[in-house]
Amino acid sequence: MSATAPVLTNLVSRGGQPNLVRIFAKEAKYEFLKSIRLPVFAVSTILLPIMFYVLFGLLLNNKSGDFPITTFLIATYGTFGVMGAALFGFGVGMTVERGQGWLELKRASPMPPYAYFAAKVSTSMIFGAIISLSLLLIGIVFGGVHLAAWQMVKMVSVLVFGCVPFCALGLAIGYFAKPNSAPAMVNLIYLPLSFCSGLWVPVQFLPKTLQHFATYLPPYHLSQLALNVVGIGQGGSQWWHVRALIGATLLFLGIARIGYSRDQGKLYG
Amino acid sequence: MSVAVRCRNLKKTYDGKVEAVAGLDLEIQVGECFGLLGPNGAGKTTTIEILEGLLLPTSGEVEIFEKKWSTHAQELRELIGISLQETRLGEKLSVRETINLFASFYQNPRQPQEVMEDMALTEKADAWVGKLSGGQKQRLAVATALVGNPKLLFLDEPTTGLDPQSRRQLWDIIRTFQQRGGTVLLTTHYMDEAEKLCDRLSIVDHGKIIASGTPGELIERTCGAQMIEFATSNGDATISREEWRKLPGVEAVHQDDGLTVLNAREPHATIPALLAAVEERGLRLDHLTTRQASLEDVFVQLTGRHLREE
Repeated sequence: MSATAPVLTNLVSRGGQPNLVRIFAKEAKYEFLKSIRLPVFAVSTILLPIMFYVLFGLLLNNKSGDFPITTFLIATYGTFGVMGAALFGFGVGMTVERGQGWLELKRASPMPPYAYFAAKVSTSMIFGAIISLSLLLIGIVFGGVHLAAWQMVKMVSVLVFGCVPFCALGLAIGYFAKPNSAPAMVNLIYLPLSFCSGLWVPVQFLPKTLQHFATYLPPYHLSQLALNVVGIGQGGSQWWHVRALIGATLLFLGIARIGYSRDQGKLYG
Repeated sequence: MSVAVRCRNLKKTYDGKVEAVAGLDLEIQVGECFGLLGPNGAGKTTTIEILEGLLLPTSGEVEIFEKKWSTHAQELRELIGISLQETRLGEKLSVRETINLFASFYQNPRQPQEVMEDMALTEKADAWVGKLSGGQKQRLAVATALVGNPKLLFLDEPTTGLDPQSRRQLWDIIRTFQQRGGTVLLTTHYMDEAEKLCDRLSIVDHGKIIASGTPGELIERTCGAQMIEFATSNGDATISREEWRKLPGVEAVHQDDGLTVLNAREPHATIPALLAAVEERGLRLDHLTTRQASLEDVFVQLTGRHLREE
């Protein structure tokens, strides 16, 4: 037996499988810390939807009619917020980390690649929770929003888990964009998608063509799911919206897969 | 002695056209510090990335501790530590957090505190990476490679851009790792670094190894022991390279930056003959120095170019 054999034997006897829980926990913790310490990310993803809510929901709201605008905007700006957290966290974050060699360094370690992605999804979910809870709190304290406890829990859950399709979209962007162009590319997708999905202006106030177009856009479906929690959705069954979001997730993952294969074509498994 | 790294007829062609590695053979023994020396674009980084399991070769075989990446990737990743060229670590994490994070990836990591002490980073433990100096960042990059308790360390130009003090600190770290039984594969285009650190090295040019051996062997074999550099002027007569070559003890002659350079195995015989030739032709000697031959001279001798040339 060669002298290198003990090296490998020792390795295998060190404990078989890597401690996946420990790896994931550390990765998720530091992913969150990295993001929250980056003012441009934390401010734009958390403060922007809150600022919009305060501006258009509280300060510029003329309270005409019966439409519960402050409740409506929690769902739509909540959707806007979780979408931003996922797109910037995944799309821009991953592109920059690829460009810096950070991702390559991790790939060269025994860390399972999915721990990296799971940590990014978790971070997006935590940001989604912070955004939706903040909007709810402000709405309740300053906007006269009245929701049952189960409605609050359900709305936050919908928004938090609703970040998944946008994480998939961010992943696809992350594999194709260059570090310098990623923020611009994300904004080019994020802002028009938000407007066309009725997140800033209720979809029924948009031109007919846009109203129809909105039904093809994932943020529309997530916002409708959140609005249905409080009974002010604008049509379509829950299942239709869920299917649309699952379909969008699969489509974005398919695109990401192409980008991944492009990268992996040169890498070992 | 057992083999830590072995590759045979390694080739890597990009887009079917650019041949970055053109049939490279290497064998690195356990416990060795082995250097890949070559100019930018010679194929060093491509070679090291293939050996690290980050890049698939177009053809050829790679074995790390007698295992192949295609079948033992997970095991091998536990055994290696890598410091890539130009890696930028997360700027918003502290030194301690970065090392803790990398330690979590391995089954049998070293204590992060101990690694920080070895890397002289303890004082900066709570500083964000973005606030570190170039040398501290590079030491942190090596710390992330060492915290997994590797048996084989890949260092791709670890001291590029560092000040002399930071370079020496990293050399000490590499020597300590080697003294503990570790194997090191180092790429560099600093000759002094290769001479000081490497037990053996290969000089790579255009994706091929053009010479291998210990630094002393390469210098002795290629250049002889001494280099005599001189410049003459003020004479109508010129002396051709062939004539200088005929001086006693001279093994080779080349021109470098306006100087004539003689590789001399017996300088005590060459220098008097050189002075006599200058006198005889009525030339003026503007410059004359003798020095030990270096790996730079080996490279110039083999390729006609300097290592740092683009």
